[in-house]
Amino acid sequence: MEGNFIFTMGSNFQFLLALVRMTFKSAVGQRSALLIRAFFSVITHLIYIPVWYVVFSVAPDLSGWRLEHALYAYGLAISCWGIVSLLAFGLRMIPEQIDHGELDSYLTLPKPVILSAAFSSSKNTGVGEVLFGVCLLIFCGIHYGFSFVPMPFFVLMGSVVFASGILFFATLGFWLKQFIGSAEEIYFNFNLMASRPAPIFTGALKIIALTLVPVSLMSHIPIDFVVHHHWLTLTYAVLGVAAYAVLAVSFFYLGLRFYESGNRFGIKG
Amino acid sequence: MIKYYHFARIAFGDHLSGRLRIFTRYLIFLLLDWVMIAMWDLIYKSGYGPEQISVVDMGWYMAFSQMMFFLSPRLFIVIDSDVRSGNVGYFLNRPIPYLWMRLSEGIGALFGNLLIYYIVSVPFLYWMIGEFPSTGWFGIIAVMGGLVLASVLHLLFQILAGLSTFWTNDAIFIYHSYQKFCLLFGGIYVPLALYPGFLSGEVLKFFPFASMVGNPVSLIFAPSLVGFFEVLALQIFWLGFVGFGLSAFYRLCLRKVEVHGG
Repeated sequence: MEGNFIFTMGSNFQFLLALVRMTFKSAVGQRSALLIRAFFSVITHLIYIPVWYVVFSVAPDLSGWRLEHALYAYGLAISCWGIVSLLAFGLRMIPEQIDHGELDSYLTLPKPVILSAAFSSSKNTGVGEVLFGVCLLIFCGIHYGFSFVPMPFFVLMGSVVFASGILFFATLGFWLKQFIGSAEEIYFNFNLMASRPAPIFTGALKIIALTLVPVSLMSHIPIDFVVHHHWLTLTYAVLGVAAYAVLAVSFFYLGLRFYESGNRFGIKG
Repeated sequence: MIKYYHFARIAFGDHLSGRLRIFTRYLIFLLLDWVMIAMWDLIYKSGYGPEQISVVDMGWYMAFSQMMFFLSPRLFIVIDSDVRSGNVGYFLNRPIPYLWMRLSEGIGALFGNLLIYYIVSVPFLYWMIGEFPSTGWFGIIAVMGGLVLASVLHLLFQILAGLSTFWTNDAIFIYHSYQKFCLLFGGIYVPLALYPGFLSGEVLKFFPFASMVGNPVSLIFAPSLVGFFEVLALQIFWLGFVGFGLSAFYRLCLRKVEVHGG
């Protein structure tokens, strides 16, 4: 039984790697488009930094949260956005795929459906976003003395949270038609909220930031760890990330039962 | 003009029929309001609040500045989908310009949202902030009036983002860039009057981004008929300017469709 489970996990992982390889090849194939979009995405994200300069010029210290924390949080948030766009853009498109009946083709591919749906498309702006986010994190490390060691882990952890969040909200598309516009708005604000100062989130807002829209797991707790080294909090956060991912995937499969397929024919290679 | 009215009327009814979608979007709006109000509450409690603006007035400012993005429908997604699917080719054969057809649909849905957001939000915001703004109902009505043309201007920018799909194949990316410009130059997180020297609010208030957010929403602090008409005049200027630019850009898109197909 246990051997069977490990075999299935191994097969799924191989399938995942194959999908990621294929998606990445397709993204890299459009070299000029990739470079242009990467350039513009860096410019776009640079614009957002003065927003925090403006906020912190008015209030330099918000209960211990300063400009360097906002920049670190923004670096994390943008890296996660880029990684998800580059590798799992399909998650963002789930509401549109539901509306157009395009999930049908994934149902015929090797299971699990979620892997095919998530990793079958890529957005090449992700390259610029990952580059920008990582550069910002490195800048924070050099200029403000934040440790570099946990950064890759935090980016990975944040990406899982963000991808799960996207999946969770995209799944609402099974019940809400033409949800893609609202869904994009949710993803965008989810990501922006991750860069907002942690001390804002108190009381009920803190509960929301740890459960339904877990931006605290994405940026606030990692930054708290970088400053205070609270291992126990980080351990709980990792458990929280795993639980949220399981919740999102379960919710997706619940929604899949409501999927009214077969309204449009298409072939996916 | 009557045909545009009918497009708007149908879009109004169609938009209001998606109750669950409106409800979901409204919840996001409330959550964002909550976060921004909490941020400024913390700023005031930390002793950094500007003396000339009370925490209550700032709360109302933040709420209305977030509202602007939620009043208009996501028109760029519709245009992006039309262009990418090639459906735009079918619309071009119709005896009505595609551009103005989509705009009238957007305005129809916008009026649906105005009805909901203006009626429902005031009690919710009062509950979240705890008091009415110091300028009372006059301030609220002035802001609401200013946000109507601001939202139409926002629709024009959305159409621009949507039409950019002809070249970028991705309106969402362009729209997010535009949103970031709005965040910086519109005065969404901080009123333009409080901007530091290197980003002079006195200059930024003449930008189209300020005409959409900062200028109309700042009426909450000191509403006056003169101020209201100044905001309106600048909005009309930007509507004309962006509308003219959009029309030229649309002709460029049409040429691309004629050369390369839909």
